[in-house]
Amino acid sequence: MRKVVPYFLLFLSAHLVAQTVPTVAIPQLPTVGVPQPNISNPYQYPNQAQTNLQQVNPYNPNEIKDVKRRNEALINEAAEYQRHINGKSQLQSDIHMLATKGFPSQSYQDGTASYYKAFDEINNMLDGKQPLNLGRAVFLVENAYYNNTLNYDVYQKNLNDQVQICNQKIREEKLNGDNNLVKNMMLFRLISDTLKIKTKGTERTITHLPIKYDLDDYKSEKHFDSHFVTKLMRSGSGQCLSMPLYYLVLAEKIGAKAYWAFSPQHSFVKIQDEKDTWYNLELTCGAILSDAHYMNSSYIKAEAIRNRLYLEPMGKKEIVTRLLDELAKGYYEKFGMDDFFLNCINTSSKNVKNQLEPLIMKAAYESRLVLTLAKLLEAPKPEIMQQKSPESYQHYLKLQNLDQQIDNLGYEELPDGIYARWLEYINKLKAKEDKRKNLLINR
Amino acid sequence: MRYCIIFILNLFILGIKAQTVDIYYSDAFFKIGSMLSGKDSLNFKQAVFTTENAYFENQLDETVFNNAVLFHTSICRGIMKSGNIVYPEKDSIKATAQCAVFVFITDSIPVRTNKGIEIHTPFAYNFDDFAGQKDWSNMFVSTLMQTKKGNCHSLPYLYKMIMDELGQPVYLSLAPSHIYIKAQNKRVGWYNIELTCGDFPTDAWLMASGYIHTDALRNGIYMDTLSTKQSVCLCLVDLAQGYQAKFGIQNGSFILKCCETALTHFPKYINAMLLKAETLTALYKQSDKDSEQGKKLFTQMNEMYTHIHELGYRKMPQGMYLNWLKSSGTQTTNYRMKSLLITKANM
Repeated sequence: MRKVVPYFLLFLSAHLVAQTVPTVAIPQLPTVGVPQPNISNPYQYPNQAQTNLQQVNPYNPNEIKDVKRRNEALINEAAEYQRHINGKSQLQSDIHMLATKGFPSQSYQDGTASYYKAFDEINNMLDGKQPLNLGRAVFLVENAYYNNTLNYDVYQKNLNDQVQICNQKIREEKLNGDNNLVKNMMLFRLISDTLKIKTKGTERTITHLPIKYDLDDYKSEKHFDSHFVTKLMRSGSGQCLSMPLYYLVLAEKIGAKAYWAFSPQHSFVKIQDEKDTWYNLELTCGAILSDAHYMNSSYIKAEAIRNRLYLEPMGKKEIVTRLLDELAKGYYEKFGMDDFFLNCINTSSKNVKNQLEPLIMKAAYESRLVLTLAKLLEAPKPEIMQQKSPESYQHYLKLQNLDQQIDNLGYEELPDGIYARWLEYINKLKAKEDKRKNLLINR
Repeated sequence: MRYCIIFILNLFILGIKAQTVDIYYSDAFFKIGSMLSGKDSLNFKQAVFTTENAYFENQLDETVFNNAVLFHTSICRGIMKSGNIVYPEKDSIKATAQCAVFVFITDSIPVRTNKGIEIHTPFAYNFDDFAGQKDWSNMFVSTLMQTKKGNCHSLPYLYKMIMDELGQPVYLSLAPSHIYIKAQNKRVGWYNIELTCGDFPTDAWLMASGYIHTDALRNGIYMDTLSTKQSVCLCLVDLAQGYQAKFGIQNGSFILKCCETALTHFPKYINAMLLKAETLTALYKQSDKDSEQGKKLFTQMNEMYTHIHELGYRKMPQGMYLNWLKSSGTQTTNYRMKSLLITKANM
């Protein structure tokens, strides 16, 4: 019997503890204005003017002082009561507005206009009113964050230069420039390897260096724009969101077919060869990895694959749709949550099969709303909220429903540190591989 | 004249014998079929018993079989009540049951009897005949309960039966040539139980080592939880395989009938598809290839294999499979999963 306990420990430790809290950081409570009533002198009591006070009882030397004190207490009490009444009605209407309309729109703020513009253009692409253009969509999302200060022509020129390097190298190596795999592999080399290109006519060679992995801010925590493609283009270093997107934008330009795929807190590129076999291009370390590798290193369970949350190739339209979530994240970073934020998510939710990200973001919105309402209602428990404000309680139920939906998809959160450990692991793998390459060359 | 009568009598008896054996199988098919069609209530334990009983030509005693399962269940109840399993979440009965049955199958358990304390030894893996190649009955739960030796077919079946008796949910799950248990509790979420070596392999490990294509996961032909109905469908294919082990393919009709019924109720049951495809192939090889019948079989066979491939099934290269078999026993902990041949013709 003694063996039971160790076995049970093994039983528990062999698995990760599932957590149901969504990844999007639960934001700080907003400062919903509860206006303070002006209480400097709300009431005038008769007989209260201090000058009128007269000694009535000759045997009490403190009579006037006592009366004064009593009067003050009365005034304070009345003022407190008034403040309470005023505050309460204001609070009630705040709660009602929040519970029925959600967070108030931030559209009056400077800079929101560029977000609305970006949304409209991307939405037009999704509705088919405008041709799908991934490069443009990526630019729109990032330009909105910089409040329309980026130059589209410069961005285009940079991308075209990269494509030209690829094409030149393809010609130089006498490869078939119409072949999809050739184009993809050249892009892969461009991003993950050093390319030397001879310029025509002169003897000069151009050296193109690979995109480095941004080890300093790969989670985009120090600067929000660390995961932007334009940041990658400026600095030559990117991370697991910007590198695949950069690849995909270039693939669009050069006319190669490539797809985007997710694993927990990570994304990568998927391509197909002539026999329709899939390959995963892991640009953060310049390697080609198997599906099983992703499953093992980021604890993906079979349910998540079956529900197509991860390792599922996404085509251009889905990628552009998915960029609406990125747009919403940027908007949130600058202006917080409101109807625009929700609109982005709802639109993306309508257009993609993989509902994980929209659900997580909706749940983040609802949980923030519920927490705000709970604080305003002074309701530490759901039952108290239900009693005090049934309409607010509806949001609590909605949040529960969203969490349940997320759970049912087979989503389990990646424990802290696993991701960093994983990157370290990949880097080691890569180092090993490099060594092997050198060995071959030496021989 | 007398000889003649004896001769005729002999013929008669032999004829009856051949017929009755077939009758056991068609009886079993009828019983399981009526469970699936809803005429009878679904009962996994009974379906397993029926399958095994048909192989033993009705010689198994159902009461003894049931009592054996109940006896094992009572030991598991004792482990649950012992207080040795500590689990702090709300769903403690479910989790404790999962743990207790696991411990019961894989570890020695002291049991108090009239004669004092006796040790109930764990069930062992049948290394001699893990795929039922020498004797198909080595796949059976009844054999497991008698000899205490089982494989990746009988061990998870027994686990599931005991959990059914305890009234706790647990699911059979398929991997290529393998069956294991999938369970869920609040503390750890979904996890896998591997009884052949007493381990908890991760999905990724099963996928990588079991040669499972990602498409097979996406389409849910492997590593999905099986409902009771689907579990009963497994019995139907087991029945067909028992028949094949006993009589060979014959004209193929019984095996195909089993496969098709299983597929009506569990359309993505990969082992039924594989057995059907193999049977069609064997029949095609026997047939006159230019005849109408031969051409029809050829088309059917091709359609079946295409469908199987599209669902993401990939046959493991033989060398790799042999290596995998060899690796069991030589490697430690994670790599100890005992293998795993259920469809012997398949590999």
